[in-house]
Amino acid sequence: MQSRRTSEIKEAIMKNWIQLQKTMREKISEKMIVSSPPSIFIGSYSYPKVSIGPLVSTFNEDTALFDHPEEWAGQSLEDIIKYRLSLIRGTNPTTVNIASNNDKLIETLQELTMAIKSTNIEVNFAKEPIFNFDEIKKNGVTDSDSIHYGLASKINDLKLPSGLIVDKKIEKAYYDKDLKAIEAVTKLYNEGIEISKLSKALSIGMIGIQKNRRIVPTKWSITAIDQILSSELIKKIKNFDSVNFYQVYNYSHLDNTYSIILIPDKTWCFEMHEAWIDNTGNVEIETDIEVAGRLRNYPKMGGSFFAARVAVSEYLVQNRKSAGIMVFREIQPQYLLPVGVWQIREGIRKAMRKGPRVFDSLEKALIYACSTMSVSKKEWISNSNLLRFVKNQRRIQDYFDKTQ
Amino acid sequence: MIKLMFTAKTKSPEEWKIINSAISTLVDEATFEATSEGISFRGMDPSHVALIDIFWPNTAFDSYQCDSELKFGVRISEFSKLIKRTDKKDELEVSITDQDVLRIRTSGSYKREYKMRLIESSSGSTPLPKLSFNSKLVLSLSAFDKILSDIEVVSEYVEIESFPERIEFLGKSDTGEAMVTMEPNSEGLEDIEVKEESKATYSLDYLLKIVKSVSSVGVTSAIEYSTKMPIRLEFRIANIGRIHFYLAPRVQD
Repeated sequence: MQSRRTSEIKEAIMKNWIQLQKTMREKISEKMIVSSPPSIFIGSYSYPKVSIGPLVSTFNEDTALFDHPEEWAGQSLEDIIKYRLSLIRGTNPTTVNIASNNDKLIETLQELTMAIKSTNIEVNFAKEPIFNFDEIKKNGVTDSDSIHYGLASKINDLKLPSGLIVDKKIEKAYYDKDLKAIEAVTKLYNEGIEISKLSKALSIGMIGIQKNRRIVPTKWSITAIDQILSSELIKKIKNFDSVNFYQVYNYSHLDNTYSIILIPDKTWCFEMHEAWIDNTGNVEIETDIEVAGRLRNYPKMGGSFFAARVAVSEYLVQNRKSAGIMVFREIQPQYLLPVGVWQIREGIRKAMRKGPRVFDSLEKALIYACSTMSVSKKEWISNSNLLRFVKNQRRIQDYFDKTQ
Repeated sequence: MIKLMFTAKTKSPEEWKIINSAISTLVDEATFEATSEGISFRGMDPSHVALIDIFWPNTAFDSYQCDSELKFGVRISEFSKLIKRTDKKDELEVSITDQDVLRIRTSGSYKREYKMRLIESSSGSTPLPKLSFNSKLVLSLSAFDKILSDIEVVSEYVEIESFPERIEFLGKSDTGEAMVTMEPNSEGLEDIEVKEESKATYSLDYLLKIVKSVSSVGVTSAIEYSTKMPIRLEFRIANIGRIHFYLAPRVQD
């Protein structure tokens, strides 16, 4: 993809927004029939008090794409932001404890979450939705945060159509009040339920043992699912044979470039590097590592780490291989607004699906991996503990009798 | 009449279980070599950090016949699955009657026969590392397992340091340290010979996996190494000649 200037991207975003506002303003009112992808949003502003509600659109067409990260890889930043801005958020304050709520709204949102396709619903807002800057202004935003930026208003009432078609697998997990959350998540994933769907189900308290079910803020539920799933996948990987060669995978979208290096190893080691480049060309690199299957501290980069980990571990399980893994992520200043950790998960999934370039030495693999980025190989590896680990480990063939 | 290319009988399936379990710590697919002298296996894990060298002499079998040298490749998990179906007291006969099939017969409570498709055997042979060892200790396998597990609580690798009358096992990480000292009167230490004080570091993951894989029947392990050099473990197991496990060290630059 040809690199564009930051100003061009800004312009495109603004143009979309003005256009959107125009179309939405014509239809918007307190009481409307709207379409939901389906989607919900749980804000975490004063946990354990949260605000829950649906995400809806005034567009009457199929709105599934507006909240479907699995379909978004490779699209432009302005398109992704347009999807986000197209969704109006209903808010309603509540506590995370479901048992004490017995809330009709929670039940309705749970049912909505189970819907298999975008659904027309009737919403009744307290007042006409307005643009909500608060969450963007309040926090410095990183990819680990899923934020909603768009119109919002307190929601009084929400009506689903009768005869809503729901996903039978999720419904079954919902009614299984003895199935542990981890087991439910793994089962649903193995049955083909998408990760973005799983995090919604978790966030609105639909899975797990009855007494443990809670409302979970959207951004936490996303990372929780990535973390749970990848942990389960890593358990499987431990039984697999190592990859035989050094492999490099890469992909680039949204001015984020990814290189993933697989190193022959039976032990699960996962290291991720993120290099943020600013407008003046300054680079800040952050690194988190998990050696031999042990993550000692919560990763500094937060949810990005688990989003990457789930994408790579999923690929290794599909191919029944184990490996040591290094992930390089380079972020250019044109990535104006972090859009969520899905872009890391889906970007790396794309890279893995494209297939590897294969090398017979780590050195060659590293040179190739860094060749697609502006941060130099030297800068990347200066932070690597994994490399030190791999390099410090001698190989048994170093001691073979050469005269034999 | 079917010509038997190779037949090996054992009084119980336990030896095959141990051999499969030891090999499975390093590889999924294994190529055995059978000669008139016995069965051998040699292979490295994919990252080439560890090597297993097994020799199972004809004398260790109840009966053994192999007219010409042959190689046979098996998928260890498949082989293990079949062997695990047998009972401890079953007599076991492993044979090859044609190129592609390994036949496993048991007699005991009733007669059982499995045929397993062989896989392509690897060509070429793995050499052995050339090493001389300055420190040697003989530990009961249960003691060795316990020491490694003690260290594993805090670290991913173990540093082994030997002194004339003492061996120290040390583990370090960001969170803390662990140390186990073995002296001549320590339970489980059967022998210690230190020609030269030695210090080297090894991955615990590899060591624990191999030790656990043989600890159900193995009795002792001879541990030999030198400073910053590979370690060799020799497992002494009844009715199996030699199981050697080599592991390359971790070296801090």
